[in-house]
Amino acid sequence: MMMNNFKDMNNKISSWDQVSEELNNLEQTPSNEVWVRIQQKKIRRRLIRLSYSSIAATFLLIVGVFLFNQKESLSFSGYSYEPGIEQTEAESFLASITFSNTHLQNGKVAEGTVPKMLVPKNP
Amino acid sequence: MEESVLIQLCLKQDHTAQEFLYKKYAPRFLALILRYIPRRDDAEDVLVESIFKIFTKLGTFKKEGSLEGWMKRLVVNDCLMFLRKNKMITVGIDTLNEAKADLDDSFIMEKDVEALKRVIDSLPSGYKIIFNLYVVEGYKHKEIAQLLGISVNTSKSQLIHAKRSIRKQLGLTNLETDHSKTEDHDDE
Repeated sequence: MMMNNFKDMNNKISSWDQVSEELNNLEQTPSNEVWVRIQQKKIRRRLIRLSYSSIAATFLLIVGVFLFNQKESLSFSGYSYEPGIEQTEAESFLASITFSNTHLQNGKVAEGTVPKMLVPKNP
Repeated sequence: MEESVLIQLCLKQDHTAQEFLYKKYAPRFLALILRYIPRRDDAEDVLVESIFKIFTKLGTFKKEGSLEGWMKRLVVNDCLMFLRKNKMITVGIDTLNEAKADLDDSFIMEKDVEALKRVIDSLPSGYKIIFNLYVVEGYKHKEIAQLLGISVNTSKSQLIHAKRSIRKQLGLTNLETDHSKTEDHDDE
């Protein structure tokens, strides 16, 4: 009789903890597609990372080449040159010239940029 | 395979270890997701996201609790995110006193998990989510309130309504002697 009661209780649920346990023990087999999709997602992520890395590398390369090729700008006592626009003569070249608080010989102060001006190499 | 070794191998993107982890836990996680999201296609979408997230975030697992517990929380969060995104969470606001009025938390039922599952699935979304979070996943009312953006009292009352509804639908018999054991512990 006791044994029967015990067996009966094994087939019963009488607390929310048991409900929780029973529900937590449930399993549902996912379709095969799920694992394949996870793998595809991993590959996609790797490709995205790879493309980001190549974009970054290309950008760095461009910046590097630009810096390497950039000609040094000249500046002295208020003048600054952006040389290399057009070299016309051996002793002078065309350049844009920027005056910034530059005291000229006539006592005036020059400000602003002249886009093209013949500048001597050794002013 | 030992858990710490499994984690290390998964972190090294070892395909076999990841597959082992997937095969071990995916069926349980899918059953968990299906408790929140009944449509299987949607549930599998969430499973894909969750497993992928587990693989990428495994490095943040601090070994304070069990790995399964940590992964389950991640899966539950993904479920809630999906429900929120698809506007599938509706939690009613009712007062705790009203809900407590005729609560008798004791019961006895046949071990028919499928029937139980069907009844839980049929609950209104708010009841179902709170019941699952509190009773099945073991979240505290305070955590549920934070997760769902509701008050602690709303969480408590929705749980009482959910339990009452389950008992009613299953036609459960009261089990007076077991009352103290099954009383809803009032932790927050």
